[in-house]
Amino acid sequence: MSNSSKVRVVISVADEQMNDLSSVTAALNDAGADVEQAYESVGTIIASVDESKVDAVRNVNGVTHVEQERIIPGPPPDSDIV
Amino acid sequence: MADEPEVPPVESQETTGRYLVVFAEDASADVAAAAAGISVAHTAEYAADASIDVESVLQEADAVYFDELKVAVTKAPPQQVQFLGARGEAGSPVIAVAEERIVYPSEELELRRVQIEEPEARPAAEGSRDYARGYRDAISDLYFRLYGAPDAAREEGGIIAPAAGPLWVDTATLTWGLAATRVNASTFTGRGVRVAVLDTGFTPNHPDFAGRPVASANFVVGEPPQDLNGHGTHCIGTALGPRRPRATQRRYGIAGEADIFSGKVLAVGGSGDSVIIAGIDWAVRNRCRVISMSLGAEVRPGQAHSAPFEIVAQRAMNRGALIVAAAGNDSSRPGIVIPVSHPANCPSIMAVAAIDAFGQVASFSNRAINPAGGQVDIAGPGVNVFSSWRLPLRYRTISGTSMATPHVAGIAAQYLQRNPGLTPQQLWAELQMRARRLPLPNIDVGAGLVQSV
Repeated sequence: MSNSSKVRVVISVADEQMNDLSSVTAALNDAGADVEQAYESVGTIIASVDESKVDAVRNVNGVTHVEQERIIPGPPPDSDIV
Repeated sequence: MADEPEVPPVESQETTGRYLVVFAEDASADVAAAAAGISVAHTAEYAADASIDVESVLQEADAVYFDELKVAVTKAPPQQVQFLGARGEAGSPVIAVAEERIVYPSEELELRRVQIEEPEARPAAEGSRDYARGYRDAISDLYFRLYGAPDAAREEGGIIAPAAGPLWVDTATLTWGLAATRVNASTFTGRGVRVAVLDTGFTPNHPDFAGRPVASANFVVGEPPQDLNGHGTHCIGTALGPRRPRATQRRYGIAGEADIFSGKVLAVGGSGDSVIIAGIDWAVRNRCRVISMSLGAEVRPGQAHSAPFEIVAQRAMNRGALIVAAAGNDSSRPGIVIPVSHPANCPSIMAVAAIDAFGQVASFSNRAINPAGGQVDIAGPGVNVFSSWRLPLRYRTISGTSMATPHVAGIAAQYLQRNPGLTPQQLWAELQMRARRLPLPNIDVGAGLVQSV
């Protein structure tokens, strides 16, 4: 069994599909992604996906952008510059 | 008498001897002029496409009144103009009086200054040197009028110059940051405006917020809802703290009557974009008009901004929310200057840099190094900022673009109270329009130091 490395991605949904995130979500699941959140207000879906499947996610109908999420550090606890 | 506008005497050569008079919106210029014995020609009586020769109209009438502007230019003597401003039953019809100045095109102005120094013709060799000296003296004069003597601390006069001491200081009753942004001169409280602060959470039992409704949400899995760090409480304090705090004399907060929406999105160990976006979604669904994010991840030179995050920001704007975020603290000037952090580097997010009480860029404040986004849009007070902190400490003085950001957010709430119809784009334009220009690169401070309204 190959080592799967899952990444969390931020997925932008096309303007025309913003009102119908459920169909995009279903398509993403079919493409092998685990959809975690779907935010209608900003037309954005959060999903976990195997690194090898990111391109397949990109090609899903209604998806305009896919990027691995960046990590925002917390404020450094021992610093006076925060 | 105290409420009547003063009529300044005509002193300099650069005025025409006439006065400009600005009338109040609801004033009747005719009534006031008749009472003062001043005859008035109205521009409204001319055809729309006619050009009006003010000089020749003033041969016959005492004043020309620009109906569209509610401004008159008059050759009436000072005593008569004074009478114009006299208080009637409804108060003074006149808002302001000023001498009518002569305005030159810029190039002509410089030539005129030189000519003032060199009125006579001289033999060529001597003349050239004297010409150069005159030019030098005129420029020196201009320089010192603008920037003052080198070791003078200059705050008045509108220009911030390098000075021996700080331009602003914390007093017993006001933080330096609120003085620098002129919050203390504003009567706006942010009432009726919903402001979200997405950070480490809030300290709900802080004495300064007793009785203040706070909407809270926690998006961090595995942590309790309250602020374990203090950072979120500090930022909420700056943006939204009360005008009269209970446990200190020193005012540190801006929009003391705005509606607080505290979204905990920053875990102790950091958070992914997905958590921040959850907070943004919550704020947007709750009709927040300003979303303050004192958070960020370092960006490398040449690294592009996040396309999906930019789309989140655009759509938040479409839903009426302006996102304001910290430019980041990764720099160590002068040697190390780092690009604006993610997500502040998104074009649709207002990126805030930090200045100190000397009016200089904070040593840690990031710079607009990356093109296509990545700019600094505006600056706020970000060094040694006093504000609320988690208990039992209650208050703390700390630094960061994290502190500058809520200054902008709180002031934005004041703008929105003043003009609730502003779209996020209009609000952005107003904040930049009224920012105090600084003699610093715009890649460091954007439009300048945010100013209250």
